[in-house]
Amino acid sequence: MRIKVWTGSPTVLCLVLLSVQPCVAGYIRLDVKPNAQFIEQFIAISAPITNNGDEPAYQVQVSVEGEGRTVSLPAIEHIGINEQKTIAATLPVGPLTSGSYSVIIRTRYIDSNGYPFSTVTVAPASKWTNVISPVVAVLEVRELLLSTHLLVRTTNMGRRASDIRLRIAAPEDLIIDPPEVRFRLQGGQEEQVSFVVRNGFALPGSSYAVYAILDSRMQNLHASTAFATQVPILARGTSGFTPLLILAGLVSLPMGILVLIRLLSRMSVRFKTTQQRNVGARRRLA
Amino acid sequence: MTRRGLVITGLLGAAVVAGVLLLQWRGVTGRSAESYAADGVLRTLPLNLGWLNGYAIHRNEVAHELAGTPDPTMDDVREAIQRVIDETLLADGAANMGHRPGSGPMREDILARQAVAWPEEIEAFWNRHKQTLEGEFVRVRRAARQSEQEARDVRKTFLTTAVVASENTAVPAVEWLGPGQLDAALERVLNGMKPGEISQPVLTAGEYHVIHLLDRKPPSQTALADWRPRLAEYLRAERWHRGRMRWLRIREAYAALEIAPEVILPKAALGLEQFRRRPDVVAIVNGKAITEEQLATQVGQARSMTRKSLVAPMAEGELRIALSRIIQGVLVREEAQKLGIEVPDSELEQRFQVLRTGFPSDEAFDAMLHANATSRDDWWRNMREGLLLLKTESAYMGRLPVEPSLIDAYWKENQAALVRDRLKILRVQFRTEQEAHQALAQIHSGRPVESFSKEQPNDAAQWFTHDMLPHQAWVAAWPATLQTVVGPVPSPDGYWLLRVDDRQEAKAQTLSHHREHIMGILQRTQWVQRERARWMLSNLEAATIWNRFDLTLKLNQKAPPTPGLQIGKHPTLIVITLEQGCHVGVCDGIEREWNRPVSLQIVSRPDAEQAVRLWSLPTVPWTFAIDEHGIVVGEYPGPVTKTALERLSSLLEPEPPLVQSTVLPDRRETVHAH
Repeated sequence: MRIKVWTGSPTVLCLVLLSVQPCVAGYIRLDVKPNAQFIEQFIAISAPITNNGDEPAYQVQVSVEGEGRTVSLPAIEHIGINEQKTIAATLPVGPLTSGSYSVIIRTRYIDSNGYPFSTVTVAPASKWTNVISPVVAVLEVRELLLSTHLLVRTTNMGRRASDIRLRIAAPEDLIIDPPEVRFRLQGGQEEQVSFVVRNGFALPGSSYAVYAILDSRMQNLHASTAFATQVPILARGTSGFTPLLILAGLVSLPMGILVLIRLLSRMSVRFKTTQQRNVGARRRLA
Repeated sequence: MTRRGLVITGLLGAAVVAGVLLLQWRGVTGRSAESYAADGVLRTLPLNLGWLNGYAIHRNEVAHELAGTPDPTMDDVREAIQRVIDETLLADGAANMGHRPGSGPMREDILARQAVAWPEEIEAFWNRHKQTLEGEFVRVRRAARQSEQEARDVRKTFLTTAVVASENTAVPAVEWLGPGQLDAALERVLNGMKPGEISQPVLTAGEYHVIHLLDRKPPSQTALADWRPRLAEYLRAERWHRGRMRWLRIREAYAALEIAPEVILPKAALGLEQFRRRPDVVAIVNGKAITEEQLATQVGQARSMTRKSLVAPMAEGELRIALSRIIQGVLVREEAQKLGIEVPDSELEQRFQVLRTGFPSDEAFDAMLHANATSRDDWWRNMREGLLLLKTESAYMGRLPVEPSLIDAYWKENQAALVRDRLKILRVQFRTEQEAHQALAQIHSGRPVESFSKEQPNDAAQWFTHDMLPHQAWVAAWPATLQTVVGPVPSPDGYWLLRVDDRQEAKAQTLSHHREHIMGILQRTQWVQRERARWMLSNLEAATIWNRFDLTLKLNQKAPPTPGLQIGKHPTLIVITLEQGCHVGVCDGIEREWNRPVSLQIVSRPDAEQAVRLWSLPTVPWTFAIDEHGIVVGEYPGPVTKTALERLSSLLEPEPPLVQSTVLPDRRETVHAH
């Protein structure tokens, strides 16, 4: 027990000190501004990708998802600071009914240390007509350390009932459960759906864009609308554990000092005893 | 029955009643959608709501359409009846063309076959999108079955039947398929197969599929010829989609439609009659006519803003967009009127003067207006409408609820940007320094500042931060004693007098100081992001809109000279069709059997294609009633029926026309603009 306190105090103290160190690392920010267009049974997507960070991105791999199909593009070796690269993809989607659709663009990349990251962007695409869905959503999410909840409050502003498919498009660094939910909203009805967001390998201190995509049908037309929010990932320095660490440090520091004083006092007693013994021995010898 | 039997029966009965009561209490009894809808206004209506071409429009059918609508109103019922009418007309048209529900191609695919896609249009599309239209083509035989065993049997048939024998109806035909035409799961299976192989049963979309891959054609070997059939189908489907509303409304106008008088339903026939009588009108919105001249002005202004040629011919798409803007303007003015919002002439005059001061002379100013396809009157009207729209939107925006938690969250995120030194100032503007000095002298002698500001655009005190004011004005106002007037201070548009009403230092500000401002920001965001579109949509839905583009194609226009047709000497009916046969309503001997005084002419091949091009028809067939001057007085899209021919004929005969109405409607009768 004594050993634990003895070794624990400096360890905790170091943790406390480390936890308040400012973050000085660089960052990569890939801004993807996609444009999607229906052409026959395809969706043609083009997107300039700009690195607005202060560190280059490597092995940038873009994939495009829509209506159950995915197309992966060849990796871009490197996007430098303030550099822009444009990607173009063709997604075969088959003979869809007219209306509005959402295309998900996933961008995976690594930093100079080989650490993987990913982002997601949603692009609207209209086939012949742009349908304004009467179903809207408001997203609420708390900061994420290990796990949090994403609340999606959906409202049917229209008068008619609507069958809804609600799915979450999130970067691969975050794990969403369940990935999609289907339900029916009567005219004017509101429904709150909760998704669990787990931290896969998201970088602390950053924030990730997450989209809730609402698909429904309006008479013979398809309607799809995406609503976005940011999920902030707690940095260790701002984590909920910090106060606990500080508390532990404050408690264990005096304890450590006490132990140290006790040890020193014992040593001094032992030293005094040894001295006395030596003095006694000399006296006896004399 | 014994006593024991009676007791058991009684107990069972009580249990059933208790169960039903319990289920009702829990709200899980199986009430039909119809019964919910019947709770609303629908219950007050008769069981039979009307007739369309001999089909009864039953209340239950309308109730089914209303399923999920809480407490349906009469507007909801009208919309639902309109949907039932549309469905019936589409089913009727498709049935004429040989569609049988539950078998063969989908109804919309059958109806889309009426649309025209010319070879040159297909080629132009191919040339435009060649880069996108690429991928491998595969030659396959395929079949889908309900059970795995059935699919295995088909597989055996594929193994034992030669491809050449597959014309037998029992074996699926050989077909070429391009990218995207197969289910994604089947495509994955196909990617791993070699020509000649037959897949195992693949379960996808609830069915077991078997594919026999016969050949592959790599992308480098594909050409327009491979893509032509599906591109033609796609272009036809698009054209049908765009012309569907017009097809429906005109067919409705000529249909035998009777609706119960309790339901004041919009009547396409009545709208059509208005356009027949007033060729200069392009739309009627809640009884107000929009003329061709107004539409042309709107298009001209839109073109001048985008630097497009003012003399180029106007395409229907361009006209539709411009018309929808005018219609929205009419609806906004109505909303403004409801809210009692006005734009005073003095406000417009001041804005006009500000604009005018930027030009050396009246001539230069008028030349600028002319270059932008507008005039002083147009500017005056447009500015009034613009301000009216802004004020009306602001009024609705201000009503949007904002949750306190959102205000708190916004404050937390943007506190640093919001908290800044600021002054609440009432600002009065003058053109010259002398005028400002005179006004200041009057203020010092007791005249209130508000008496100068009330005729100005900013007639109330507002908060200003340093970046919102010229530096000189800020420096003069910041140290001033509250409720005193400082100035004149030079400004970009003249001279200002400033009355300082309040002062707040950044460090003293809290959320309460900014709550109203944050609420305004959040309301504006909500409005711009979604509420504005919804507000406009609901205005459009509630309005009575008769749009000429949805109700006419060639009405009131001169018929073009067409080979094989005699037009302009006598009243005549003409049918333009690329095909002949009962599926387009042109059965053999139809002309012989026609016994009305007005002649019937059917354009037959080889002139038909040229006639369709000359008339610029989006779909075929079309039937036109043309008077003795060669003017189109009636038109009918799709498979022609005897009833439609007789109705068109009646427009050319001395008998009174189908609908008698010379008064513009003043009640809400809706033909939706799409």
